[in-house]
Amino acid sequence: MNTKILLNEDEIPRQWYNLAADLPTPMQPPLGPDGNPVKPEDLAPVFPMNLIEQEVSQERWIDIPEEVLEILYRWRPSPLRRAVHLEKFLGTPARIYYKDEGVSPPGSHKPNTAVAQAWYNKQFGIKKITTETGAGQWGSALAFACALLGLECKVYMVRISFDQKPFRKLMMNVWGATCVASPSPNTQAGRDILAKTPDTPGSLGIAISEAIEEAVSDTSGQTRYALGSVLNHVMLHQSIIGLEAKKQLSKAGEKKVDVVIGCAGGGSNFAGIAFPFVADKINGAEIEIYPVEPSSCPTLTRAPFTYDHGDVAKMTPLLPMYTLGHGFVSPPIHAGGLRYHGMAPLVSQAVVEGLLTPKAYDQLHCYQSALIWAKTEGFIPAPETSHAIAAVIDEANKAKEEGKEKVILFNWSGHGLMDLVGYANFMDGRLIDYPLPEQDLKTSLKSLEGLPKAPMVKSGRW
Amino acid sequence: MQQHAVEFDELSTRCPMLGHPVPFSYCRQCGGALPCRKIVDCWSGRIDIQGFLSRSFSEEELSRIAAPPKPKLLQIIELARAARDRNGQ
Repeated sequence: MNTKILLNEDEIPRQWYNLAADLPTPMQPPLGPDGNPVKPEDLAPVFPMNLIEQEVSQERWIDIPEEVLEILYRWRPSPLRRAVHLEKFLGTPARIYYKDEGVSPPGSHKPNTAVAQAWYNKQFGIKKITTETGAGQWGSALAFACALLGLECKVYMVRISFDQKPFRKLMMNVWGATCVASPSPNTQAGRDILAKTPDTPGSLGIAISEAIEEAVSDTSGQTRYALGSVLNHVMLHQSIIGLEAKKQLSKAGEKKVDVVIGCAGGGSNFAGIAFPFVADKINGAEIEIYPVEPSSCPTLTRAPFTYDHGDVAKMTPLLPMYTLGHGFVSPPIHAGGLRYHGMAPLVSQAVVEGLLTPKAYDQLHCYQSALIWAKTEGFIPAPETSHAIAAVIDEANKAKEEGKEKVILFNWSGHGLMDLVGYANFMDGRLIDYPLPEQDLKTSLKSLEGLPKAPMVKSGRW
Repeated sequence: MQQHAVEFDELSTRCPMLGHPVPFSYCRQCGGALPCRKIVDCWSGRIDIQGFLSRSFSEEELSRIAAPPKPKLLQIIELARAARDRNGQ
């Protein structure tokens, strides 16, 4: 039995999958303060029009340009691995597979969209791409992509990260990108901050402001900004993960998959593995699809679907999404990118339809699951990944109780070697679970009273 | 605020947004005049963060601290408009 299921390069998917085309009910557009949908022209100074077209596209399949594939071949198709050692440890009849997205040169799934975005920018005549980064995972992915496509790349790295994480900065430099500490004297936003607080450690908000300012201030029109998560076109580019997995499962002799699991944060990680299987479910397949979130921040599992303002002044546009209200601040949990207030609109709508079944896990359960994984499969998972693993173990145990040979698939979103402090805190007993008390949830939701209720438009099929 | 801040400034925690440890002094100032919107999230259970905030900020400021991030797409549009305004475009 092969535990690594590989595809040849000529077997790579040649189109991305867009779930927006298949959702039984159309996506509700983001609204501006005037109540009208945001227009593509609003985004034109920031993104190239070919990516904006993808952002609003309703096409089911979008061709992956040959030049993009030529770059992706450096690490794609990524391996599908079978977790036979975990299966044996659990004594489960389930067959557990995971997609290994840690094999790219920068070491994450981020290059799947970084390469595509850089290519589309180049096609649009863009010479330079700007972005922001914290510890540098996205910045290094974009630097890598720009290097291969001959584009200039400027990364605004939050000052405190710039000082503490020199190696990611060096990775960007090796790939030819310029990485500056933010706030910087390069932009008016940066200069204003530095004038007031010269010793500021910066923030992601300041870094985003600088990156966007540099993009929109280039009077030649040859600079644009890039984002590595949340947006529809990012999830589109990540769909290659699930599309490859479908081919690999078939190659492994699996006729169907029973459960698909991914951690749900900004959306691209979960969407990448899950959306191609959501399409199968829409077309009649019986698949359980679980976005997994922290129990202390139950964005999908307990919150109502409504329009939510972005600020207490209620001046910002409204976007339909699952929300816990303006006043919600989640308790502490070591889950990295999972700590988002709202969920991506495409994921929200799929939940409304009943196509996805969100699950929430507490962090102690997740760390316990991560240790089981590390002691069986060997790899030490990132905190976000451990949420998916907790759900996988539960499903495998359930299959054991039911005596069913289920096929379980999940997305391995990365190793935890940069997150060992979290493991140390767990093993030293310094972590505490904070499930959101019902009373706290009710208090939070009071802030939503009086807001327009998003219509729960659904087909009722699931 | 400074009077209350110094008692915690040497403590550190992992910032989920940046992906590495940061001192409390970062959390209380990275939002400009306000602390990070996740300061309660990251520090409750370790220090009396609610007490720190209530001693240091007004009700209106506390409401702003607790506000969720704006949807990304719309945040980007607003930042682009603000940048163009700053640069007289």
